[in-house]
Amino acid sequence: MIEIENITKHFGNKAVIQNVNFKVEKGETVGLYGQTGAGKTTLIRVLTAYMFPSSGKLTILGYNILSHSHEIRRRVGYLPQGVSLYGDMTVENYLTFVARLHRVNDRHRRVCQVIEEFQLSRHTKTLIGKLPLDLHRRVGLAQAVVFNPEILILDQPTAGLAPDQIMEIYQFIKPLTNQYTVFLSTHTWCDVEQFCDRVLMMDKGRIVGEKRLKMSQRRVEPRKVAEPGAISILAEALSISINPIFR
Amino acid sequence: MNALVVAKREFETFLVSPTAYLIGAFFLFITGIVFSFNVVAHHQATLSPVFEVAGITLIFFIPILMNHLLVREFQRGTLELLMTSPVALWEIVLGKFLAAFLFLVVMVAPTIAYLFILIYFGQPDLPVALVGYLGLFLFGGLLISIVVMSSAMCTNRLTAVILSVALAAFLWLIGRLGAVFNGSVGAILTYLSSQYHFLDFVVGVLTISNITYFVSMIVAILYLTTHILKIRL
Repeated sequence: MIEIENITKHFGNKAVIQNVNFKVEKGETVGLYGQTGAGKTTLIRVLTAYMFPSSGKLTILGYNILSHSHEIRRRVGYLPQGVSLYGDMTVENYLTFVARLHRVNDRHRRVCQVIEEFQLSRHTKTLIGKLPLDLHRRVGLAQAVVFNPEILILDQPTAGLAPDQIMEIYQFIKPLTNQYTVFLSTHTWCDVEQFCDRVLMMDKGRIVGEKRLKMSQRRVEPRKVAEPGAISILAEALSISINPIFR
Repeated sequence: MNALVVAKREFETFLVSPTAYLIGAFFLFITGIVFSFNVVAHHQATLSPVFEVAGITLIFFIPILMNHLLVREFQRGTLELLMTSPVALWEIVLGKFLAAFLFLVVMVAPTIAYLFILIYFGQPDLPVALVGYLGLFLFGGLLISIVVMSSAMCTNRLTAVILSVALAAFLWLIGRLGAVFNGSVGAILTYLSSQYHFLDFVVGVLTISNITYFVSMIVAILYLTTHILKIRL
C-alpha cells in the first residue's frame, strides 16, 4: 500500500530525511518510532502529500506522489501532530465540512456514525476551540476517518495528553488498527506496543532499525512511557540490528 | 467544486465575526453621511459621490476586515489539514476570494436603500447607478484579491493589513505618476491605475476596457497568490 524508495527531503542544504526505504502492506499497523527532531513529522508530511520529497520514489496505493497527489489525498486519512482544527466551527459542522471536501455520499449518516463511534454525541454543537484536549484529539481522529480512507496516518496521536487521556484515546485508536492500514509516528514506546505489528526506528532522518512485534507484545493496557532519545538502549533490548554509526 | 466548500466555511466565519459587523456598520455610516449630504446640500439624485467615497473607504476597510484569510490558516496550522485533503491550492485561494467577495456584496447591499430613496423622491439615472455598483464590486474584488495575496505572503495579520493597504494605495495613486511621465510610460502607468478605471464606473461609463482591467488584475493576482502559497509550503 505504501512503498518508499530512497526518499530524501531537504530544507535548504539540510537533509531532514535521508534515503528512507520501507513498505507497508495492506492491513498492517506500522509504527515510526524516534525522538523529537528525528524527522518523523517531515516523513509523515511527505506521506500525506503535504510536502513533496526532494528525491526518491514514493507510491501510495499505486499512485505516485508527484503525479497523483490529489488521488492520494482522497484516500488517506490524516491526524496531524497537535491536530489544528478550525476552532470556530462546531464538531458537527467541521466533520460535515471534511466529508464535503471528500465528497462523501450520504454525508449526514456518515457524520452521525463517526460522532457515535468517537462518543462525541454530547458535543456536536460545541465549538471545537472550546473542547478539552482529549476531545479535540477525538474530533481529529473522527475527521481522519469520516470519508472511509484506505490508509490512516497518525502523527503522534498521544502527544501532549495526560496519562488518563492517553488511556482513553487508546480505546478509540485500537479499533481503527483493525479496520484500516495504519501508519503512526510516535516517540512513546507505549504507543508502539499498543498498536503496531511492526516498528521502524528513525534517527537523524534515517531509518536505523526495524522490528516485527509479536502479538504478545501488543498490550491492551498502557504500561509505561519510554524515555525519548533512548533508541540504542531500546534497540538492544529488542535485539534489533542497528548500524553502528547510529549507536 | 471544493472552492465552494471552502468559500462556504469562510463566509460563515464572517457572519459570526463582531469585527465584520462593526466595519459593515461603519461603512454604512460613512456612505450614509455622504448620501445625505449630497441629497440635502446639493439636491442631486445621484449615487456617484457615494460610490467614490465607498471605493476609497474600501481601500482601508477590506484589508482590516479580511486580512485573516490565509494568515490565520498559517498561524493556527489549519492549512495542513486543508492541504492534505483533496483540495487544490487554487481552490483554496478561489474559495477565500469568493467568501470575501460574497461578504462584500452583503456589506454593500443595504446601500440599495439609498437608490430606493432617490427613486421615491426624485428621478435618478438608474443605468448610471447600476454601472456604479458594478464598478464598486469590481474594485472591491481587486482589493480582496490584493488582501488574499498579502495574507499568503505575511506571517501576521498586522503586516498583511499594512501590505494590503500599501499595495491598494499604490495601485490607486499610480495614475498620478502617469501625468508626470510622457509617452507610453505615462500611458501604461495611467492604465495600471485602479482609480482611473474605477472613476469611469462611478460616473456611469461602462467600457470593455475597464471591465477587462479589473477582471484580468483579479485573475492575475489570484494566480500569483497560488504560486506564492506553493513556494511558501
